Amino acid sequence: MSKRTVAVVGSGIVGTAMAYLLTRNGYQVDIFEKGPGYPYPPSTRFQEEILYGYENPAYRLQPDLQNLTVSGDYPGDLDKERALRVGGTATHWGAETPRMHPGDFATRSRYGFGDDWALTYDDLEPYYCEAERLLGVSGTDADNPFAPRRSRPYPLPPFELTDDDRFFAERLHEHGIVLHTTPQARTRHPYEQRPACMNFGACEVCPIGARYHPNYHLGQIVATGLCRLHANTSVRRLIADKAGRVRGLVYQPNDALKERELGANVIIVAAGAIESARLLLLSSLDRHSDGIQFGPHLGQNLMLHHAWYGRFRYKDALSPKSLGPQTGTSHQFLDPPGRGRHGGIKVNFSDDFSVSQNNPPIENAEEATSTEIVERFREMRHWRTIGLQGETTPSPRKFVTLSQLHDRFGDPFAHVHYESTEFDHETYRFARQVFGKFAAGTNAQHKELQRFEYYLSNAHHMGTCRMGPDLRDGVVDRFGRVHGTPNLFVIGGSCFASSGALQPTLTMVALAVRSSVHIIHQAL
Amino acid sequence: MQRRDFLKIAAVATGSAVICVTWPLRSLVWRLILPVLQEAPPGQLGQQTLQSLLAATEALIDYPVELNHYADFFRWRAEHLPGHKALYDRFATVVDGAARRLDGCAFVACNKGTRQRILTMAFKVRHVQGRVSRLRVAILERDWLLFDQYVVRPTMSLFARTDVWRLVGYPAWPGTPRGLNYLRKTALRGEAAR
Repeated sequence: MSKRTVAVVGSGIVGTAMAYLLTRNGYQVDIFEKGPGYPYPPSTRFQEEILYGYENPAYRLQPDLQNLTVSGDYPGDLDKERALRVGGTATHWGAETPRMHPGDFATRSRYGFGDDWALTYDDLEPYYCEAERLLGVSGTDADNPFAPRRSRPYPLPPFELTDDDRFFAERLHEHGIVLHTTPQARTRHPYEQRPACMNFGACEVCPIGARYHPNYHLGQIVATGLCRLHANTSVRRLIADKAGRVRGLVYQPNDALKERELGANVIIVAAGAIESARLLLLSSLDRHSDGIQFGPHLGQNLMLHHAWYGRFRYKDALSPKSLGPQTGTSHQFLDPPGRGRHGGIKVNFSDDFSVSQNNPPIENAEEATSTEIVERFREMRHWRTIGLQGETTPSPRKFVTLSQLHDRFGDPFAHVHYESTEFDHETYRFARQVFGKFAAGTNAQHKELQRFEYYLSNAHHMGTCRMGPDLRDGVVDRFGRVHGTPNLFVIGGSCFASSGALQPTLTMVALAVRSSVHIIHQAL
Repeated sequence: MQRRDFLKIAAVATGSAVICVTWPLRSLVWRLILPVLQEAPPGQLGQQTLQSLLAATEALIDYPVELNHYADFFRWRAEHLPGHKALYDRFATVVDGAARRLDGCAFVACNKGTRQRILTMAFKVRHVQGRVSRLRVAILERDWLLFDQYVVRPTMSLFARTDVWRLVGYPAWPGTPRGLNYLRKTALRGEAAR
């Protein structure tokens, strides 16, 4: 009997999780990745980037392969945020893995804004457990009274609060604010074949694989012979048959002159909210006789994970960046009384301090004298960073479409238009109130908070192929299956109907696990 | 339209056109004039060159530092990145020549003050002001423009990523396996008196 075949577009954390689960159940999987290969564990990247200060261009795509165009008011570089390479953006992620708040799945019915998901927190809860097991999450809910119900404990114990965290947690507690530990896909103890975290502090390129990296599983499944990885290969469009199913995809190795076809029983698009929408848009172009239609929501409802950063100065010296992993967090403001008029806020208040060039006091260090650098670092020890991550809501002014610019194959790039809304401004005002509470609660001498217009996305892009009960309300159903195309799935942040204020990655993986189980049970 | 209005509009239009044409042209000219690192093959660093680079490091940083990782840094760059070995060799030759002229000794053998005087050239070319001076530096001090970019600046950046952490009280810097005892940070508590 021939094996069931699956083609996965995108080798990031979602595509890899699905490929891993499907190959374990006997499926033959082909994974397509537009970007180049990436080492695992990334010890060579760690050497280049952290020890030798070298940004290797081999891991970036040429501008004729990656050139997102953007309009609107988003101030960051949306194109560069995306890591188009084997392993995707999770090759460089922070690995915070909170579960979404139950209310995040029903913002329309509970709070009167946005739209409800086609599933509930309870539907997803068992798959959250499986996602935590897959990624090796360290955490506890014992110190977090705002954590949602869970049916299984975390696979690993938490990274405790640091001395500084505990000092501030006590002060904040006196002001009615809870600072608690952060669940994260980073090994507190050895886990499967991954060693325990050794606190290198350069977590974005963890050299030992303590922080979860999709290529950990990818390497395992390629070794089984059931999975083929096509790196440096662009998928150009999907091909449908007359019965309304997809029968394969058209792809082209980036350096090849001709396109090729691959047939598959199931196709999974897991290329991030922007590239997934682009592929579906390319597949529905009139110039393709086998064009597929995806309804009015394709490309719409784009949501970024809005974040503002601030900092406080204290009289006494602290010890920032003693620990790589994220520690102090507060989920207290995720579901505030005013939710609906504005969104919830997640607070990061920890020792974290990036060692990259883009952060003071390392920024422009090469221009300074050694005495100036030492003075900057002495001053740095009096500061602590606060991150305020906000919920947003879909809007007709936040969408992905096709660009006027074309890639090397002649296909249009994606274009993003993103304009913040009054809801987003209200969320910022709420964030500013929370910021003030933290400043007062910790007796900060001095405080600084970014203005609204400097919001960032945390490289979390959601929406564009959202989940809904039918084609009038969404692109995919509750299992991520495209309405009207039974063997085509779009999985990941792209099918979120609301953003919530928390990091979306664990939810993306939980959806991937749920859809994989569905595909296996349906024997697709 | 009156003649005066016409002249006003014409002057503004001409000025804008001149700026539009000359601005990118000027930056293109500067790009052509300024020196670039040659595509020479990577290779193993000789002992003499390495010693010169480490002597420069000691002169640039006014604090005691561990030289091992600076040596490791220069060796890796010479062996992996095109042009760096050749530039480092050139650097050793130039600073050695300057030291012999100034103090009659090799760069590595002369005192820190002399080495600092020699390396001042890097800061001079970096901060030069005015078009004529910049042009003069771009033509006559090409070596020092490259030494600033590929030796002096990376050395200071490496210092900011490593030794400075110890100098302000941390037992080790990020990028080393510091262990999770840092959760308790007993080593830092003395400094963090509240």
